[in-house]
Amino acid sequence: MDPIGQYAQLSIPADRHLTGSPARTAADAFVEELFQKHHGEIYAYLARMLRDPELAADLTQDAFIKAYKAHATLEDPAHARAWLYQIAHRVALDEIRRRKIVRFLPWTGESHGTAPSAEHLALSGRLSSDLQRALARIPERQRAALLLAELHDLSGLELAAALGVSHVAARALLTRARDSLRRELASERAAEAAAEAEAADRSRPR
Amino acid sequence: MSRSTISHEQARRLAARRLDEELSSSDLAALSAHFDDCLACSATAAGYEADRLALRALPPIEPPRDLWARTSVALEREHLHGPATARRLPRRWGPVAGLASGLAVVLVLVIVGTGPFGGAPQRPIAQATPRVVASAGRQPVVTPIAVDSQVSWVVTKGPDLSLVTANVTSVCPTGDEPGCPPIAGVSKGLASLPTAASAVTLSPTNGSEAIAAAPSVDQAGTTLYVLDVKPAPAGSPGTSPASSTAVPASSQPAISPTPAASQPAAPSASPSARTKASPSVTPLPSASGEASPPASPSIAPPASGSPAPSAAATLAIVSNVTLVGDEAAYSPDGQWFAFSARPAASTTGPDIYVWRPGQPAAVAITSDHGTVFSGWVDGQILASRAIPTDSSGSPSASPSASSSPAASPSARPSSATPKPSSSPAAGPSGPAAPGPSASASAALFGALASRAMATPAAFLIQPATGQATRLTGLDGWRPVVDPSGRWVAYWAGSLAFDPASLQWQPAQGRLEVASWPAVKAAPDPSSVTASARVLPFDDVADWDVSWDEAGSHLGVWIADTNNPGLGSLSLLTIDGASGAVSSVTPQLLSATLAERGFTLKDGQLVWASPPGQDGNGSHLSVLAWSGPNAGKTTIQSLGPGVVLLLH
Repeated sequence: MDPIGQYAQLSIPADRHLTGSPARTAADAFVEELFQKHHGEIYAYLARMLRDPELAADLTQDAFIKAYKAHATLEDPAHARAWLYQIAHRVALDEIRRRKIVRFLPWTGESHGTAPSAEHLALSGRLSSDLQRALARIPERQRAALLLAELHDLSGLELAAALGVSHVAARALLTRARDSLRRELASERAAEAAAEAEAADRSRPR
Repeated sequence: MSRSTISHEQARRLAARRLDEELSSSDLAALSAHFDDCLACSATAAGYEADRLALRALPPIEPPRDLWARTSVALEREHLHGPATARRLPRRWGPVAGLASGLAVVLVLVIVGTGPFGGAPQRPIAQATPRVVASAGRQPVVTPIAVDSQVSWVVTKGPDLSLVTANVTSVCPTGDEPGCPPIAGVSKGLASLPTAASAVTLSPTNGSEAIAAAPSVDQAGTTLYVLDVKPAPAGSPGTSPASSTAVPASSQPAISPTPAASQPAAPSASPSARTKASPSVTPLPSASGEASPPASPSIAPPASGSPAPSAAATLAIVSNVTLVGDEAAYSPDGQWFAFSARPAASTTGPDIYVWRPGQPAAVAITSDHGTVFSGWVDGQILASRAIPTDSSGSPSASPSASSSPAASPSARPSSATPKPSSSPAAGPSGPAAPGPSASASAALFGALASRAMATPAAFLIQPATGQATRLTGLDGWRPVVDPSGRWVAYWAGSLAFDPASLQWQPAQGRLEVASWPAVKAAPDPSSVTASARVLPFDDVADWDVSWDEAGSHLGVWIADTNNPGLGSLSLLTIDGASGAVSSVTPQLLSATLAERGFTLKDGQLVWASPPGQDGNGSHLSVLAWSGPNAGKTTIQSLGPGVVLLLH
């Protein structure tokens, strides 16, 4: 099984290569290769961080555009994956921060919205387990650390690079994340059990 | 029994670390010894292991198939045009999707109406009087431009509403200059509703009254609440950011009850409170002279069993509706509030509802299920309605249409006086479910909608009687008249019915500006059409326009066709003589990516940028101008406890 989608196959149609530009640059080739190798895992990471598949697609796009613009800053191609995760992580945190701040709405937007796609509904279901809900409740940096370490198999140094912190800080963050998840999961399951007990109590003949 | 040498906390940390790295032999020994003494710690360690396994067993997430297609186009654009034009390609889905997440969302709603809550009417929000203090004569743009204005908005955090006010004292050409830092706001608690609000409008004349829209408790639609807002604490607005003491919304009860239907109305600053007449439900006039089907019943406030707002502070004037369109507004004199809505549980189209301060509920004043409110002018409601066309493209005169003369070109009275209809079912205490007449109207709506194409017609409607007058000089959709009464902006062209939203949407046509006096005087649209000025926008699927007080600037937001929540915002200078876009004055804001919704007052435009622009999140922007001098600034602080976004 490929739990994070990192091995998702990608076939880029010939006409979708970046060949329409005046000159195909090293950055073009670089980002294409990066996309082919990692877009699945980056998308999966962002989807789990944001719990919104559509938004994750947007942010994946953002992350690769940033990678394209910043490709010259990558010193060692061997670290491209951790570097890309670092970009994606910052994009995710920016989005989370934004969602805490601004949502500009007109008098009503509800009649302009479109129904969620089947794809969205299916993925939403996968993001709604008790574990996912507990994950969503822990601080975002801890969540990122846990996802990157456990689902994306980033090593200690890669994790530190992706999170933009020291190795020691990354390790401490991961430890706190495990503790937080434990507590939230226990709380989630306790709430579920209480709800089930209440439902059973209501259905019992009197 | 072994003796532990580490604390429970240290043991838990080691147990967690053990999953990620090899522990030293001494740490392992200490951990093992601790587990021997502490079953709880041992269980915690086992829990960490179990959580790891559960995490790794999470189902896979596959990326959407079109991800590369979208990304490659964005990259191509980046390659061709450089960072300045980089932008995220629009999503295929609507603006609501982003809100579906379980994460906390803070909504920012630009207030429409007058300024900070308090006794006397105050300066309209977002009204600015920029004063150019630099040598304006030598340079087209000076830095910084001093302005004296105030911007207010509402932040909703869950069900709590807070009012945030910020003073804008200077703006800069780009808003990013070092000497032009983002501005901060001062927040105060406003209200707490049963559910999170999606919009708030303030009364233009009664500083203690506001209307908020919020999803019903049972998620069956939207409820509109009238908020009675107590005066703001002295000195709160205008306080400098440094001295502002932001107080959590929940700690400041700011709402007092609005008189309920069963209670006598308290004295109000609003003139409407002294008026006895309640608006009757009167549909648009009928071509045959027959009364149109009685209006659908007013949708009653929530049943008594519904949870009340926490502050016992609000009056629900309508519930279980789907609001339609972006336009909902108080009349300039504050005596009426109008909006378009349709029953949430129904497949009928929209009607116009009005509410008067002091009345217990809003009532529908149209019943054709195809009329939308677009604004106020001369104390009347400016509305538009779709007239279905036959296959030849001509307006049809089907039996369905004949029941509604306003929809029939063959019966285009310049003034029609319908028979007032005051069906009991239409009263505020009427049943929520549509009655027989409403069913008939629904059938009519279905018949009309099935024609798929339509042409627009504009009406003026008296809010008190529902008496509708066809504007024979204007075949325009969603017309908006500038406050000075000189110009009207509207969609000219055909409409297509969208079964998903149950609304008519623009098909082929354009946005135009025409002389409002000419429209009122013209016996037919031909002369108006000949002199109308076309606005420079293509591919208009949805839009929002707003005039400044003088009618000299027009803000135009054009929705992205792929993502209705995003669009481009432009600020046009309108030539006072011709109504055309000025070719002399430079465009103050040109096609700037913006979220839906903006406010425009004299000398000031406020909007929200979408996230993802050069890595930035969304933020509020303010553009202020005086003559050819214009500058921007951004909003730094959006309220207590809110993380700032600074890039």
